[in-house]
Amino acid sequence: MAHSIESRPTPVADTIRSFLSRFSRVYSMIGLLIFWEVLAIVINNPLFLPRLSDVLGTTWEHLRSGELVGDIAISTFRCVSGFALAFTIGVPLGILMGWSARWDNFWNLLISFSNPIPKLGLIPLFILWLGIGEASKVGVIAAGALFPILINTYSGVRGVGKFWLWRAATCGANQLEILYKVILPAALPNIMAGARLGMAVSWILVLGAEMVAAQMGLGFRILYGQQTFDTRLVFAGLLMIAIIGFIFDRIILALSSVLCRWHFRQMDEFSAS
Amino acid sequence: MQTPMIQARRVDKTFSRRGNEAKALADVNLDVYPGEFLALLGPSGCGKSTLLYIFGGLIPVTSGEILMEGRPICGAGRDRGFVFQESTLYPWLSVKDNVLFGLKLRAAGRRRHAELDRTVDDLLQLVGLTGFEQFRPDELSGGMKQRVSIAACLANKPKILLMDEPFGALDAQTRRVMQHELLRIHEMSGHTTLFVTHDIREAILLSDRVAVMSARPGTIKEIVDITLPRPRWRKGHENDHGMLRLEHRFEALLQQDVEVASRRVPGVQSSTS
Repeated sequence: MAHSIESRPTPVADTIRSFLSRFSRVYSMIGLLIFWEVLAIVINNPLFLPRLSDVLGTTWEHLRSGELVGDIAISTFRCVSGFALAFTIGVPLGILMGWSARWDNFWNLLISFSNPIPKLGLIPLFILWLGIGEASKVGVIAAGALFPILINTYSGVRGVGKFWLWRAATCGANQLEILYKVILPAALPNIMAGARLGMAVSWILVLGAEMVAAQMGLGFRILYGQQTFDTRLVFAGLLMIAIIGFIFDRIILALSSVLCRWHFRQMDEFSAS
Repeated sequence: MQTPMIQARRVDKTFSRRGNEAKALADVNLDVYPGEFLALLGPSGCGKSTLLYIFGGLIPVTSGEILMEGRPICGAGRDRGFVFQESTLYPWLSVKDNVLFGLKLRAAGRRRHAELDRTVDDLLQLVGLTGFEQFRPDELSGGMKQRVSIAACLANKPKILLMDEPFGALDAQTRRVMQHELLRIHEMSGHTTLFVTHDIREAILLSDRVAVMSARPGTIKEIVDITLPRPRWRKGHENDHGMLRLEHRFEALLQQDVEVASRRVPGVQSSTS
């Protein structure tokens, strides 16, 4: 955006510059993809690193045959189910813990202990408990996504200023009104940040669960690619996960910027100055 | 003699932190009469804000009681409107919705929108912010925020206004303007007001009576009638001979306690500033 005063840009140069700056965020992406293609040509070993163009070709083939579409659908289904379960437990529990000392006392230590357990390690246990069907996968994902959602919600509620609560009380608000008119909107940016982290964890876990026990899904497909020495298929699976994970992250981001406009506006003003 | 609007009777308040006890208020008796403007003046740390929070029902007494029109209070209530030192406007609500926060709690669905709109118009006109309905709190200056806070407080039609150094966070210039604005509002609407400040001139300019507090434990040391003629909002009385004499008198009253208050008591945070 910085125009130098000495050299006045022509309108054409101006147009080009504004066109280029609009896409400034994807330069790094394009650079990486070109680097990949060139590196693959130089190495010339498709088993080690297939060319990007080949990977895209394989991806397209598998998408057209419907195989990859089915994988995407089932992985997304598992991921979203587990996430939804975690969200419906994590947000209310986080709010209750942040709000009531009794709930906090009861749950706090339990959560502190179970948070650091690597949730991938729970997959064998969940299979023993819930079988190799969908329940164990959804369960593992829910267990993993629960913690970032719950902990962020909790700290969001704890961070609500005393004076905001006092003002509501002097306006005649009862506890329930304070909860949903002050605490909930005030904690919403944190809740959404927790949801974003939870969604990322969900995608990590769905892959893990599918690699251990599944006949379908992106995790299974990637493992299958490895077992059949089809490196292009491995990359095709990874590419799909990157794209879908990115889309889901953007959805949550867009949702939170609509729901917490006040919060993001404050941030924008800060970073603009 | 008139019956008091609100009374403190033998109020004691002790804070304890990790076994250390500090007496913040000892045997405080204070009557505030309908329509009067009473300032609580004292050095910072003398417990005047604590006393105001107790009047507001925001923190409990250790012993003694608060009577509102002769009846003991139970917690916070909208009959005692509060304006805090820092802005407590909700950033996710517009100016209009902040002003209507208390009204919407009880009148949802029953009041007509047109009626609420008129209420907001009237109040914003009273505080000199006509046309700012749709602004967000973070788009307003400190002085404007406090104007909105006052309007939001008056919207609930409280019987008494409790103001905790509402202009303490403003620059000197804005503070002077706001003092005259508050004088104008008070002299036009006649609200009973209990106003906490450590600013001698502010106390004299605004009040009918000034209650001087001593520090640690906080008690009412003396109550002084301010007989400067009203209305005062057009003329400042800043250089008035009577005002200067009162200033000297309060300075002498406070001198000793400022020294006491500035000595720290171990183990007690000044949550009462």
